Amino acid sequence: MKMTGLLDCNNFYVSCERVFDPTLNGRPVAVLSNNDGSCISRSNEFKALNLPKRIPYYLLKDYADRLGIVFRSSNYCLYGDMSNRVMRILRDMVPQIEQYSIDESFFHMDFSAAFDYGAFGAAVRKKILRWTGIPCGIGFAKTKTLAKIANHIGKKTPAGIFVMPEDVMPVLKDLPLNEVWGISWRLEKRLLALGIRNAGELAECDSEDIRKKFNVLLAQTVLELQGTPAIPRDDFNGPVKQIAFSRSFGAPTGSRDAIRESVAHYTAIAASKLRALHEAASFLYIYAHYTAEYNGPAPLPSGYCGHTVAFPVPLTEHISMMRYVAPAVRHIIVPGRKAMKTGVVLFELTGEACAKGDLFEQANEKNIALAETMDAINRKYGRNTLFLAEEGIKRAWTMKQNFLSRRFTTNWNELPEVK
Amino acid sequence: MSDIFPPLMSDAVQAGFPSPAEHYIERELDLNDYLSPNRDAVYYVRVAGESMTGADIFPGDILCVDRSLVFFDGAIIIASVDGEFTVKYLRKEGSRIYLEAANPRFPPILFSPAQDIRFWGVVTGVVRKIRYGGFRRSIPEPEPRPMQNVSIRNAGVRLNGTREKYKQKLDGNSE
Repeated sequence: MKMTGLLDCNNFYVSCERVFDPTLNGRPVAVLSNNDGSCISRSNEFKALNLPKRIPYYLLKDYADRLGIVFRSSNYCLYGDMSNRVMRILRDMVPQIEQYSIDESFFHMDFSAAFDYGAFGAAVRKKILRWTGIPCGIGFAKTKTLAKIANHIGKKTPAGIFVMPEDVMPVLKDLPLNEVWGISWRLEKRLLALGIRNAGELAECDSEDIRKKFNVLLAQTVLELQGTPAIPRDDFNGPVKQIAFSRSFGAPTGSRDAIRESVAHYTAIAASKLRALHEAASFLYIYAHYTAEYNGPAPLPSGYCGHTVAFPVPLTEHISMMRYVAPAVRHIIVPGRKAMKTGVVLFELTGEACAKGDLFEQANEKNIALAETMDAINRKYGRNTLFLAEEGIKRAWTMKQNFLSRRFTTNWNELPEVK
Repeated sequence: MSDIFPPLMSDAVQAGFPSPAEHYIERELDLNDYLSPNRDAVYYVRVAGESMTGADIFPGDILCVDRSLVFFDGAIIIASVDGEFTVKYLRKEGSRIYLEAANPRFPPILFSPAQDIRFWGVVTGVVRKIRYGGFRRSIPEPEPRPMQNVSIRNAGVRLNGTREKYKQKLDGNSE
């Protein structure tokens, strides 16, 4: 019998922080989005405060002390490493996994009907909790959509596991539409207008009928609720088509230097990812977002400004790229407006052989060797050990991370301390 | 006409030398494997106190901690006591469980409902780098001993008539 499982870590970012800081246990904890914007991961104690889901930090900060809330800035070095550990442990226990996000993974099993999925799920959960300290919930069902539902139900039980019974209708009849994967509140409203009130009633619809009235995605959902797998398997091993990097500034700024330096810095980061993938890029798209505030002459310029830089040959390193990026930055600067975010996208990836074998730009070879040496030094002594002056030295524009925990698992200088 | 032109090589051929060691290649030694082979359950922590000096664990040392191992009597473990990480011996005497330091200055930590004690992992290794601070002037290595003339006689090797045996053989061949 084919079964799809979904493993989902509970309050993943908060759980990662708690593994290395036991003082956070039993307290309301929230991990903030980039730039300390809003709460993106909340502990159960925080959820019990019944605040809006993505409440911004600035609204909360005055009450934090009184409510005993602890904030953390998002520490993706830590979360990435812990996620890899969880996914590797899962991969060693099941035949096939299909990672879906940093803290969620589908997995596929095909055992006899007598196989005890509940007990197996409990064993997986126990091992992950023991080895990593991260609690998770697991749901089993015939399709991904049903596995998502089983996972939600499992998370509410003390065991954390739920296996969808053969007859799913009693479960679906109790389930509001917006708890079904892929159904937004807008879609829910349209379905309610048609008299479809819960997941069970949606499962009773004809998928072909739904496809005509709505779209193919909702038809897929109907089939999945009926127990027929319809969502195609994601193949994450396909070639990467583009590499993007963007960040918000710590505060909106009208400084040209901030835009120039940040674009150069993000280009360097994107290019180092490019080299890690052994690719070369022919184009770079750079852009800036501006705040609504404007005090220049009319007409009001657009709050978004992007520009494409074409490289004469495919490039793998930021040193050569800088020659084309630096003069192009002026195209995305809007005088009189404050920028809040910049970003870069490398695209038209062609494989690094195109850059290395280039006969027309021999100078490239030196820069490639230099960039690879810089990569090696930065890997050994930490990021930002060596960088181009163009990327800025003080970087006053960098995002706010006032509550950042240490990189407990990825940096020798930031290990947890024991007395 | 076309067969006048030889085909172009599409790929550069990398002809490496056939290494005589090829079939004997093993994985390089990896200290991670040595300290604990279980990479997904291994974490490193830095020692910041003197409570385990009697077990040769000193401030500044890095401990290798395996979270997959069971906790047992006599193990050196990492535990959190009221939110603070500590490294101690785990002891069980009858029904009494406690954490014991390897330094008489630190009293044992008994388990009581008043304290929040959680086990974190079992220590499987100590890593200590040798740190050489300050200015270092290089000392020249001593000159190697001069090569001595070695003859079979002064090396004290007894030949047991071997020379005679070979002489006979050689003589026999030349005849």
